[in-house]
Amino acid sequence: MADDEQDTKEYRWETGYEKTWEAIKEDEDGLVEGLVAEFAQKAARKAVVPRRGPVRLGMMRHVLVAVDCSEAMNSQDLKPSRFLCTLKLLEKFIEEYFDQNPLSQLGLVLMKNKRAEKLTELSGNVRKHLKALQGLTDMALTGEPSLQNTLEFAGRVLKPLPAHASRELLVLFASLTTCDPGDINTTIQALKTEGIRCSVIGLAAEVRICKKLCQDTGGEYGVVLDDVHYRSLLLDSTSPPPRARALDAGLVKMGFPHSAPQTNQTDPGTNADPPITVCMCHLDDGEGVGGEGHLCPQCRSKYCSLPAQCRTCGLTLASAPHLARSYHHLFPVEPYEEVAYEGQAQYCFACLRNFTDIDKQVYRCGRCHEFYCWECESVVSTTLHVCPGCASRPHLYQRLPDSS
Amino acid sequence: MKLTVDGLLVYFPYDYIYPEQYAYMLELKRALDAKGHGLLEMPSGTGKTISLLSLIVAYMIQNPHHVRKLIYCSRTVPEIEKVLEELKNLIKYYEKCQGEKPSLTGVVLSSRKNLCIHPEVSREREGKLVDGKCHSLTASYIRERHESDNSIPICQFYEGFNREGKESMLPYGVYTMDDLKQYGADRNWCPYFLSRFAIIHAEIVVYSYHYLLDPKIAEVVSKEMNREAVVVFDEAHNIDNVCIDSLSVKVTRRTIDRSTMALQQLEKTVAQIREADAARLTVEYEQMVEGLRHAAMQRETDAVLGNPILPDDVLNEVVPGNIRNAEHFLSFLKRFIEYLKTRLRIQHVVQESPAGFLKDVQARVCIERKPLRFCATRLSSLMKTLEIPDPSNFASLTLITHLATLVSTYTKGFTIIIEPFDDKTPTVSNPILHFSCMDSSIAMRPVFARFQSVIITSGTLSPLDMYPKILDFNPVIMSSFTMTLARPCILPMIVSKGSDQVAISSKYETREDVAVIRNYGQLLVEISASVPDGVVCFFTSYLYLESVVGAWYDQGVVASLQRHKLLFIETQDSAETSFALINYIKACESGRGAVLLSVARGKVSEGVDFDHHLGRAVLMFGIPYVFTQSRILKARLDYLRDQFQIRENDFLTFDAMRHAAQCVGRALRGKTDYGIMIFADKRFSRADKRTKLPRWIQEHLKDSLCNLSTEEAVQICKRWLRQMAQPFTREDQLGVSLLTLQQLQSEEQQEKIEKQVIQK
Amino acid sequence: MADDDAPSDSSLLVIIVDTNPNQRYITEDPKVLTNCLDAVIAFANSHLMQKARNELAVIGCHFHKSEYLYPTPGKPLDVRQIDGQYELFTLVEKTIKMRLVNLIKSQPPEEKPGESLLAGAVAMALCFIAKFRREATPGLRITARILIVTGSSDTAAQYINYMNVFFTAQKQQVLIDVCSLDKHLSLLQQGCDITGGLYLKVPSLEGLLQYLLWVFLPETSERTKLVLPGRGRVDYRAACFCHRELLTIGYVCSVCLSVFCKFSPICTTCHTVFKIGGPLPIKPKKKKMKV
Repeated sequence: MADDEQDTKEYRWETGYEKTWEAIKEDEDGLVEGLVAEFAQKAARKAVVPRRGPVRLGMMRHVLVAVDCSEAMNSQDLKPSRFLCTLKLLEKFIEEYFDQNPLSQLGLVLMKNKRAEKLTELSGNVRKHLKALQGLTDMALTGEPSLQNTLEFAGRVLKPLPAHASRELLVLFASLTTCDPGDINTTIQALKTEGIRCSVIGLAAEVRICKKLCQDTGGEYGVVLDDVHYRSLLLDSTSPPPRARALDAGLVKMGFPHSAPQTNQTDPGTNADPPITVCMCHLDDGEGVGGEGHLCPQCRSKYCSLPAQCRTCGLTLASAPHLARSYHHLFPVEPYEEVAYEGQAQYCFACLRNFTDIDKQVYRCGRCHEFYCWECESVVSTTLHVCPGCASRPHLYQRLPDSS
Repeated sequence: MKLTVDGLLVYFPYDYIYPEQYAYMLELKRALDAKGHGLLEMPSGTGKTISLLSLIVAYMIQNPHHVRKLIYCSRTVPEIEKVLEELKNLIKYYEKCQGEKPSLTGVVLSSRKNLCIHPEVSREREGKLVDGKCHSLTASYIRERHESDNSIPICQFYEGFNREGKESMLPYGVYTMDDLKQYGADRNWCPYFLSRFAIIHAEIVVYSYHYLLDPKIAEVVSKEMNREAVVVFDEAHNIDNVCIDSLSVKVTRRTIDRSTMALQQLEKTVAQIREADAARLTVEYEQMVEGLRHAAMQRETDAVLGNPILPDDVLNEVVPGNIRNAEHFLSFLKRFIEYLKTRLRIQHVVQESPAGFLKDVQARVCIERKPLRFCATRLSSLMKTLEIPDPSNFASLTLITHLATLVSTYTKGFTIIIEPFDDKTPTVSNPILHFSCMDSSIAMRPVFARFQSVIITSGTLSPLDMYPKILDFNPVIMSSFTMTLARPCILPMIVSKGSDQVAISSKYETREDVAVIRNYGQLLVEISASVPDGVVCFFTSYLYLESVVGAWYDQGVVASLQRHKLLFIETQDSAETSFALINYIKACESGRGAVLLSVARGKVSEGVDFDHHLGRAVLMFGIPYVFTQSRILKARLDYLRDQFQIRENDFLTFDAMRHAAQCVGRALRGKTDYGIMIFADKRFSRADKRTKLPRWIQEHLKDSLCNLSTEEAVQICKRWLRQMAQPFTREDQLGVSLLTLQQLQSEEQQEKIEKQVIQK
Repeated sequence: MADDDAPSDSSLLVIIVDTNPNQRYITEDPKVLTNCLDAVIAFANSHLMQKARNELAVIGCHFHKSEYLYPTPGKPLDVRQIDGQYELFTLVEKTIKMRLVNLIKSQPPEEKPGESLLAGAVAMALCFIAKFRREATPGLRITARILIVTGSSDTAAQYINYMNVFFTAQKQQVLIDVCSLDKHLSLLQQGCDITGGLYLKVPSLEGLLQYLLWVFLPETSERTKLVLPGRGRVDYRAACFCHRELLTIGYVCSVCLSVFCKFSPICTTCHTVFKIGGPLPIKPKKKKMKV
């Protein structure tokens, strides 16, 4: 366990990729490669299993991400420092989040110096968030965080939102202590009654108040082992949670704008450029003057990027692919069955890779009976959501009878 | 679930069982079958209580002739309450399975303070006052007087009980203290006396050690217990100290002064009575002549002053002539007290054996041994004759008579040490006479002899072979169990040096070394920066704690510590300490995190549990040796060496290690709990100390975790805490550390469990 | 999609050829298929000619299954040089032709040909690209694109599969080019738009090779410098679940995201009951939050 007994004393967290407390063992030839692959396969397998069947998922999410900016973030056990590692992973998280939940919104909050400071508004604009994050790299980190102030801030921001969207808070917490002005338990109770789901990702160790917070509000508490684990924990939160109890099902009116503004109909012959208009999302910034954009079907205000919420008439604007992006949660691909490799097939059906001794397990689709390697299996279950074999068989490609 | 342990059907009220619980029950059954004594060590938080109760209850039901009674002795009232709760649970389970209540009664006995329901008397805070007031309402002569004169107050609850309560038996079931109070209140009976009556017939009795070990009390309460009983001493690692304390007496100048005053008062009273009602005194005189003192003691309400010596040593003889007369007796006492006064007027330490003391007494004040032996009984009968309502004023006098009786009865195993001043305050003249028992087996012997099976169990009994030696008994079963864990939830570490490579230790010579104190401070600061929620630290003594904290203030350690967590300190004042404890718990619950500095033999280490977030890390600063310069200790060590061939070093280490283990064991209470245990002294890594840690700690103390420096220890902690924070569900435990009935019955489990038990 | 501006070291092209016998241009004139196939093979070879490290894969999409025509799983064919042709080209031509014949022969005779299941073929292609990227030497910059050559028409039945593969391709930075031989394919055009590829409906079949070489041969980094057929207008309106009509304003169930043209109290897909009283009021305007 401890390689600290050797001559060179290690004063920094330099122990490299640390597995969980199941240590990795070498096989007879002293090779670890096969077992690394096995381990990765097992982890990938574990990630897939919980999502089965048509789960009622709260698709429209409003998530506030609170980042701890206290002294504890200076620690260097995540390279290069906890703070910088967090920023980098957050960028990936934001991209993945909007990928998975195109109709959702995100806001960033900083837990700085015992107060909660808003970094970005709750919005669906990816670039704004990324830019704000990039501006943080040089920030000085001092003081202690206040969990209660953050919770109250989140409560204030999320409370007025309608009940049919799921409201969540994700706290990235590195400190082991919190400096609160009052009784944090009352705040937690208030959040619980509001139905705001709070999850915490701890960077140091398990803190009781965080655990209590997550348990009471129905969120998840995870503590990172290293940066790889941190990344997987963050990306886990991009998937929608099982529907919170407080959500009311509602029918939301949405607009689907036609792609480009109409060319001048009185002059069909000329290939005139469309009229220059200002788009509504950049009204304050002064950018976005141009011809291309989407027009709100109700009030004809122009927006340069979708999804957006029309400021004039309040209609949510989206395009059909945005909705379709989330369909894979509703019509998930059936997980593959894991079988021990005994020469059932020579090569993987999807990628044509030959099966070798390293593949201890191969995967078999229960519907089309084809064999896949573990890498294709993970691609199919995490990204593709379509089984290549089933999709190319005429009797199997349709998922549900009334799918469109 | 219902499982079979070695052929016996046991009802276990939970669906899952730990393998070590099963192993424990196996060993216990063997001890019971052999009708012998047992010594069992099982770590805390593994369900020891319920294993004990379920097995013994099942045994009692199946073999009512072998075992008729279970006497469960525990240390503190909260522990007793916990036991009763478990027992209730068990009985409920029986009822559920069998459809009817098993024919068992379980009763608790505690002091009057906890059981009194009289509106005025129960309002008193101190136990002694409650006892005194109760006596003033229930003494037999008071009651007689009440019959003639109605204005004298008596206790209606006692009267009610006396009239009706003795006829009926308590219905089957388990009675906690609140249950008893309720029962008594419903029927207008006194719960205390009800309980005292009930324990004679009840199948399961729960009370504190003193009711069985302290001769003053035991004679009154437990004398009618039958032989076919199983006695269980729980949390018994300190039982030798309890035995010793119950037979030791300490006399200071204050005691002398007070007893002189009490004596004068008695003389006055005797003179008054002599004038008013001489007949009473003569009756007493004659009773003594005829040796009828036994009859007088039968009345339970009058037996307030117990005899300090063991019942077997009470002479079955007539009271000697020179103290039969009340006035003679009082002047006899006066002489004895004068003698003590002169003995206390010394300039240097004197150590003497009881025989020498007696000789000296005889030489100087012509007091012989035999009359001294009857002092205690004589005084109690005198007080009864004089109808003194509230004997609590005469506590000092009682103490003197205890001393007298003890010194004259026991010649071996005791020593007298007279010190002119307390070692801690060498300039203040405060002479004390210590009459201390050195042999703990004296008080235990009657228990071992009288009862069929005595089970001594605790979480920290290592090294096991020490106990049979010092308690002088032969156990048929001596086993130590470990916890089976699905994940390593303890991290014991021995930190022997600081980051500057200076060895840290609480050794007397290095105590004042600035570098050592600074290293301790560094260690604490780093640990509190890496460990969430609560951290508990134990120092070896109050003095050491204060000096270290003072040095830390100067070095700035306290300031940096407070940046991470709040700081609380235990003091010798119990109100302050409980206040600190409440706030410590509040800080841990609210996420602020706190550090508690306490002392290894203080109240906190004895009674308070720091489970889960309240104690994520426990630091032991130094080895908690007893104050080795104390002469009493030295005398005891000499005695142990002579009598039992136990080397001084062995005994001291044994005592220190069991306290250390007890302290660190506070942090772990259950299998989902996890905690770090740091032993911060370089002497811990030596084999003779390491091997004295309980087995369940030693198992996890790998060689790579001994002899660490501060930095290394902190690194290991950080890594380990992250791993422990990963989710751990019941399913992960099943099959390894938690078993269902089927898993238990499988062959391999049985084998594994057999292997787990190590016989010594 | 945004790519490096610098040219890559290696470019992987996966061609998906629709070989479904019920495509109109085939049923009209079966011999045309051979010509089109030759054009595709010539195009594939010219892709391989662009750079030494370029790679190729060809998938044949038949109605009963899809299969890799090139490369062969297992050992490649043994080829010898014939009339001065580079061996690789010979290998490609021979392999494709041979395996296509096998594929067509293997079709079950009783079954009536259904629609072309291009989504499945694209999924296979994406897996292949992923594998290729994994197994390549580290540091090698690889761009990948998929070219679909098809004469079938669009089917809404494969909507979900199409959407899934399009988004995956977008995430993996794989371009999807579509060369339609016959009909206007709005769904595939959406895919091109999402992934940043090119959509072309070939006006005449005889000039297929010319169109392929002109439009689809250049890589991403080169395409920005050329003038290529424009995007046209892509219709992104959603179709309602009940009538399959395209809507500009619709009602969306917040549980399962199915689209309806008018309000109904129960969602037909997930059977959630909605609050009676009409649709929810318009969301309030976002207020600026003051810190």
